[in-house]
Order: sequence, then C-alpha cells, then structure tokens
Amino acid sequence: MSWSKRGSHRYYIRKVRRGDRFVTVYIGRGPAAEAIAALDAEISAARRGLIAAHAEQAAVADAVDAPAELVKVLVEALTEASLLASGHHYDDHGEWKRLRGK
Amino acid sequence: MTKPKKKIDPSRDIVNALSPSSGFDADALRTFFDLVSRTDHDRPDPIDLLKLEDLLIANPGIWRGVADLAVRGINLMIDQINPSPSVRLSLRRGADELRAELAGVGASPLESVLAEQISVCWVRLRIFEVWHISAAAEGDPVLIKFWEARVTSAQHRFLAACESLARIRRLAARTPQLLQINVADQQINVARAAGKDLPPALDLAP
Repeated sequence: MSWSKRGSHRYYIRKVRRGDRFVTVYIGRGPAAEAIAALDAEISAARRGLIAAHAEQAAVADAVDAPAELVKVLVEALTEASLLASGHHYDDHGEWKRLRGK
Repeated sequence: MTKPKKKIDPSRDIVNALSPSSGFDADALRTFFDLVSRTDHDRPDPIDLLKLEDLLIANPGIWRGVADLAVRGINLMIDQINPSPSVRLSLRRGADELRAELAGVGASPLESVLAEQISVCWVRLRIFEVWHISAAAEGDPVLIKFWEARVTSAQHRFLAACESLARIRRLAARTPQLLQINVADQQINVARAAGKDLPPALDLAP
C-alpha cells in the first residue's frame, strides 16, 4: 500500500495479487482515500504484530520440543541396543522379532 | 516403539545437553550410537553385538544420562511457560509420580529409561495444553490451530512412549534376558549367556 504522486496530486494505490502476478489498484485521493489508507495501515500493523506473536510462540514450542527430542533419541537407541543385544531384530513389517536360537 | 530413521550423530547434542557432573562419557556415547547403527541388520555381526553388550555394562553413565537429560529437559520445558511456583511444583511432582508408578519397584534400566521418556512426554503435553487453552482464551484462530496441532503431536508422542514400554514388557515376557541388564551391580545376562557366537537365523514366528 502506498501513495503515488501524479502531477500536483497524490493517489492512494494498493498492490493486489491476481493469480501469479501483482496488479496496481488505484483507490484515489481525498478524504475517503485517506481513511482507507489509515485503515490499511492499521490492518498491516496488526498483521505484523500477529506474525511476530506467532513466531514467538513457535519458538517457545520448539524450545519445549528440543529436550524431549533428545531424550527420545537416546531412549530409542538404548531400547534398540537392548533388543539387538538380547537377540531381536527389526523386521520389514515394522516389528521387533526374536532371532532363532536366542 | 518407532525405530530411529535418521542415521545421524546425535551424541554431540546429547553431550552438550548433559550436566558436566553426570559422568557421561562422550566417546562411549559415540561408540554406542555407531554400534547400534552397525548391528541394525538382519544378520548382525556377533562381535559387534558383544561389543554393544560390553559397552552397556561398562558405561552405566549412558543409562543414568537419560535421567539427567530428563530432569534438565523437564526444567527447561517448564521454564518456557514461566509458571508460578505451585504450577512448577505440580508439573515436577506429576512427572516424578508418573515415572515412579510406571517403572515400579525394582525396574530394569530399560524400563526406567522408558518411564523417564514417558514423564518427559507428559510434561510436554501438559505445557502445550496450557498454551492451547491460553490461545483459545485470546481467540486468535491461527494460534489456536497452531497449538492444536502441537497438542495432537505431543499426544501421539506420549502414547507412542507408553506403547514402547508396554511392548518391551510384552517382549520381555518371552525373552526375559531383555530386561536383565543390571547396571547397579554390573550383572548382565543377555545373549552371551546362551553361548551363541554364530549369527542367529531368523525366527519368523511372532
């Protein structure tokens, strides 16, 4: 969203996506255009705030996930080691099976 | 129980996450992951299997490291929600009680680490639920959807961890040596007790 200067006047324009390309939509000038521009600015600021809040919460979620994933990796490896050492193997059907003679 | 799919070296991250006093041997951990990777075949080399057993006996720090990782991980996770002292205590106590209840008295090292994992998954699930409730109160549909997905994922992880413990106990009913690695008094009675040095054939019976 921006203002375009033509001659002695400035016009409020919007860049709008239409399919794969962006087109310029002329809103116009005067009090109505000023009001629309103010509203657009408000919506844009709110959207930026929301994106920042989402990014912050996504970072929190990742920070909670990280230690749990480390425990998971180590426990899965220990489980696998115990199963292998006690004569099991992971078969093609996704199940642990005993090896004959164990 | 899901099999690790990524053949990466997670030992570096794990060692970094452990406290220096946990008695964790970084080299032993690397060797451990390497041996697990090498023995993960239909016909594993019996020498590698013996090495794996020896390593598990000689390095009890690997088993105990899970407890250290779990305690530190739970504290880190709880810190993220900046809770009141009572909520912090409630989460820690809940995790402790769940772990103790699931492991039971005289649990084997394997059962203990699986119970630790379940307690960590439980804390994560509780924290995500708190965030989900908070997002619902704020009424932001994008955040609600985001936390819903995280709660669902955490529920799946929690259930998968519970299933792992149940599956191990079911397998141990037929193969008791699975749970006979006794780190505390250095007693182990796994495959070597059977005196089988040759690669075993597959038993396709369930």
